[in-house]
Amino acid sequence: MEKKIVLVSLFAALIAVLGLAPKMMLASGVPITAQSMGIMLCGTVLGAKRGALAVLLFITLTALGLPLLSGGRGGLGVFASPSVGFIVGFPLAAFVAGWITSKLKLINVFYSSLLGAVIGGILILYIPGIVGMSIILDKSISEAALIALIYLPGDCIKAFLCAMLTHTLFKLRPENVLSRI
Amino acid sequence: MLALRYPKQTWLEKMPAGLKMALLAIATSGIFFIDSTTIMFLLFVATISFQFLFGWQILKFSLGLLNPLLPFVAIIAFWHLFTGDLSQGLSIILRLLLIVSLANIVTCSTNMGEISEIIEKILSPLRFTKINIQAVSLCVIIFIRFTPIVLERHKILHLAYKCRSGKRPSWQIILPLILTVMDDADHVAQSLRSRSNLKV
Repeated sequence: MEKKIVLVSLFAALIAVLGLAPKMMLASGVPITAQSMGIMLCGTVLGAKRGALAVLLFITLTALGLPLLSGGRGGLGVFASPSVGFIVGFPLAAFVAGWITSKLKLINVFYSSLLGAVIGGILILYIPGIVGMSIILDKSISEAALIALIYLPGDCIKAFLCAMLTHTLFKLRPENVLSRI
Repeated sequence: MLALRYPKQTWLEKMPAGLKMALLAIATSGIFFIDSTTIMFLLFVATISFQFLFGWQILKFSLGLLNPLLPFVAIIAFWHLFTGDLSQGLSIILRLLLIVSLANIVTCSTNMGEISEIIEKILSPLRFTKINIQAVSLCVIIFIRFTPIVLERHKILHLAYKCRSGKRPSWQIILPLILTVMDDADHVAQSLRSRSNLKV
């Protein structure tokens, strides 16, 4: 019980730090924030339930006014911004990423976490994300989807990095990848 | 300090948090019924001017909080420039800025504890479910205690990587950061097991 509580809290802190830290520079020179990769990692490393709880804790504390989202955003204002759907969808994304990683134990951890990160962290996350954008920006679903496409290349890179990190962590300390235990 | 607060005290902080949140809910719902761009613009100017009453420092801080919205403002403006419906674009931009500004006023002028009390009241029916309220409080405490520590560790890893390679680190320092978080989790869980009386 204690370990579960601590892991949930510390991974929520990790998501916050990945958002507060300076943007990552890719080889192409494109800057991206690692926060949404933190959401994917919560699922692929901690598993469905614990991963979703860590993300839920992070979002609750953001709503309470802590400036934890990338760019130092926080408070009730973020729930009125166009990214509201993505923020609300974060716990579901982590849950699905974790569920897929833990269900596909027979295949290599890299591929199972890549599939988890892509389905949970991109496909599932984009559904509430696009709906939220459509409502706040007063656009049709297809128009909002077109706007959301801007994030897609960055998110694909993050899903790949998430799978690579989960795979390396599994090779170094298999007992730490709780989704595979 | 890990909180989104105004740089100095204002009388808004003395207002009950419940009242502020109720007013915010009413205002946010009301804004969706306003069609006139002029009224929306006047309301936005009034919101900004209201914050100016507390001084230049607070206005600058509040305007800074709107910066993350600029990419969305640019997208909407470009979109409506392309479709030729500029007045609708302006209306969406003003509504967005107005709602976020109002929500920021409430967040920045309200103690985190007060907001947390209101949320606890809203969530109070959950006491009748199996959710362990003590565990939830403990999670919040550990999170608030450890976020600055993990951030500091990230900075150290960042510097170490930069010193050794001469390059700015990218994703390479995330794995060592996760490993240190895992180590911390072991130590903290052990301390909790031996010192706390957490009911499982």
